[in-house]
Amino acid sequence: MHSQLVRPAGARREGLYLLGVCGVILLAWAAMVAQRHVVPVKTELAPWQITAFGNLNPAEQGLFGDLWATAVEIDALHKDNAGVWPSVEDLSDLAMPPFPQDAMWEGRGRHVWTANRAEYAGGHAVVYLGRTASTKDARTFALVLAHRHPPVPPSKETRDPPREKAEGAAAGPADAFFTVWIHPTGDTPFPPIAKLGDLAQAGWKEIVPVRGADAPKGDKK
Amino acid sequence: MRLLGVLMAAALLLSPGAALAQAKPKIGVTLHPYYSFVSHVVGDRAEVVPLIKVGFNVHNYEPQPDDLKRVMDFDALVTNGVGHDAFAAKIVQAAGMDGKLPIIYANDGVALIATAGYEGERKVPNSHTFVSITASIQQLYAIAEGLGKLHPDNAAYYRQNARAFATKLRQLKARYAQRIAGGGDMRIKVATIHGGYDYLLQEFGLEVTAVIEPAHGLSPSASQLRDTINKIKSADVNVIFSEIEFPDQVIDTIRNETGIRVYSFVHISDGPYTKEKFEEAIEYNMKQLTDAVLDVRGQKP
Repeated sequence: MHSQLVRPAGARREGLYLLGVCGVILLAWAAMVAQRHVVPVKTELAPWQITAFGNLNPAEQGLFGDLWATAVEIDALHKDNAGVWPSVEDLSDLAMPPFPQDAMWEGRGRHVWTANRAEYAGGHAVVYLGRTASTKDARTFALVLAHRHPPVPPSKETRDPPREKAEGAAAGPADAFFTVWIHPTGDTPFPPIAKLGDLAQAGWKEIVPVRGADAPKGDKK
Repeated sequence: MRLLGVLMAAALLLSPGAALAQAKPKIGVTLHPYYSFVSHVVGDRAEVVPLIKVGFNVHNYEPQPDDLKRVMDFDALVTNGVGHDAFAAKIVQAAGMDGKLPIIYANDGVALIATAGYEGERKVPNSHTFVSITASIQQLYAIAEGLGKLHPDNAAYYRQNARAFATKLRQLKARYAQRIAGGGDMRIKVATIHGGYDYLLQEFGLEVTAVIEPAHGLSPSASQLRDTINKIKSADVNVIFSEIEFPDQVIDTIRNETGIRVYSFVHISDGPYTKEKFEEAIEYNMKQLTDAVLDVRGQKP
């Protein structure tokens, strides 16, 4: 006797196929969106820190960017010049921003720059202080560069407390570092150098950038 | 016997091994400005090789088979590394060079700014650090330092070259800054066609009020264009910076609808790779920028 199984008429299997195809399309679309989506950078901040991304006005962002880039060159000059930090006049003559009094200086608060150098156990440091002439344009800035002299390791007494906790926030060669700080007033006294931890207590805020190294890693291996 | 010795020495000099021993290291680069930067840094002590050929849009580039062969021949690769050359990571991975090829991320120490046009929580870093003087100088030093670690004998030479080019670029910028010095207000409201010029505008003290095309390579739709025109009108923009590659009809529409002056920048991402490209392009951009400022002030040269 010959028998044959006849499946009931219906679209159950076709429906499943269709669902599967829709699923694949959805997954592919989600993957594409995920790949193209721009990921905002999040920065962990300590109480004495602010972010260059969100806490500075455009003029201050420009000033900060200039100081951050020029710090690298100041460090190189210091190395090539027998450990002497360049003066404000040197930096202006070399057209290193933000030190020249050019058109940009005019529109960004007309900061008056002075420098103060100091020796401390294990190294030496310099502070370039830019007092603003117009707080409505931009606040007062300080660029702090410190250079440790190996093989003296930083001790608890000589370490800079904000820097210690903000490891990774600033950049620089292994034996040097720099930080950029901001203060709301134009007549602030010169920041203390020997103990930079006092900066935060004196009302200064360290500006933390989003660096290339902090950018989403999807672009790197 | 003496002749034999001379012949052997000559054979040794002409052998592939000797040629290899004297071959210059090959430094790969991903984008046009990095070709210029690295060429200036290494001088005649290394060969600079573009990773991808001329004529491709780097914003949506997909790796080609030739790229894989090329990258396998590199001794190091210099990249932007913050979103403008994501194709490099794909090529390195596909060629099996992951972890084998030293990669120098020129922007690792650079303070990035947020891309104009993305607001609030959507703030994202701008990858166009190479359309600037200041951020480019920082990258020059980073490249010199990175390559100096790979070739310690050349480290001082690389640093010296980086400084020489940095000095030249700074003097160039100072010359254009001088054009607009002492002439009036820099608080000029600016709209840009593309978010790629934020670093340059920022270092000249100009703030971007509106961005017409935040994502590169995508022309605005009719409704986006209408919104943009409305935004520019309400923002009371003084000048619009376009780019040479942008469709003329869109620019003409904006110019006609708003009555605002338009100047154009170069994105430095096409044409032949040359050592002089960056310098020429950035000077062109600074001329456009300062022309625009003078124009807005009524001091058009």
